[in-house]
Amino acid sequence: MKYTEVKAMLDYIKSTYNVPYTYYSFPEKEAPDLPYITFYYPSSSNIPASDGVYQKVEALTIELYTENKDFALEANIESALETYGIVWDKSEDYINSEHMFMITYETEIYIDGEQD
Amino acid sequence: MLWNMSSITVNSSKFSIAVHDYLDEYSSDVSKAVYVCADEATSNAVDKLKTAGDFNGRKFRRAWTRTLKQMSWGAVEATVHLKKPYYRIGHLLEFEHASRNGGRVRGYHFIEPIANETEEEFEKKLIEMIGVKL
Repeated sequence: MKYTEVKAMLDYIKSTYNVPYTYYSFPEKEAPDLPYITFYYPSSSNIPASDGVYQKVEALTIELYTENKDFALEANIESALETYGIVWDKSEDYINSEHMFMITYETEIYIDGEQD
Repeated sequence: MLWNMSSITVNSSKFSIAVHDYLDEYSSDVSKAVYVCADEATSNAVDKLKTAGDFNGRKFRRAWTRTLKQMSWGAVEATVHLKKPYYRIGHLLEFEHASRNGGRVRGYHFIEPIANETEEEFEKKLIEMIGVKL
């Protein structure tokens, strides 16, 4: 998978379900209304070779923030993840201080090619 | 060390029974050792978690506890966890999250190092107790 494919999936979610996204965080006081998505690559667990990295493996975290519990939107996002071949696990939190739900999708992706 | 090998003499016709009995005893002793080590390691983990992280929250800290279950087949399930209603807060404090209007609230990452230490402590204690490296 390429980074651009992850972006393509998020673009699809944005255009189809009207859920904007950004890498890691929106600038302070400039976040759109809920729901929105943040995603980031928090770590890697590369497969080594004798002369370097045999296969780049990146952890990918996709966080969906919603005003209320939104089963339908979660189902749509999970369907998109599966369409793009991403195997995921999720957890749910309610952030009291922000009055919003956070659904965290965690996965690992094998990165093919260069940075694109 | 939990047990010592002692020498026994058995009739060849009863050899398989003797081996079977010995393995049964060995298995039971290892299972007991696993329980004791898990008990100590998780107790220490709870103590550490009650003071970890540079944030306020006396009630939250007191909510750390552990559960040990001895399974019928000899395994031990040991879980360090937060009592209700604090278990969700633990996840939020450990990991960062977005602020509604932008920016992010930092995570304290105080659980993972203690979880790693606990695993190492458990393994070390168990090796000491049963006398072999697994």
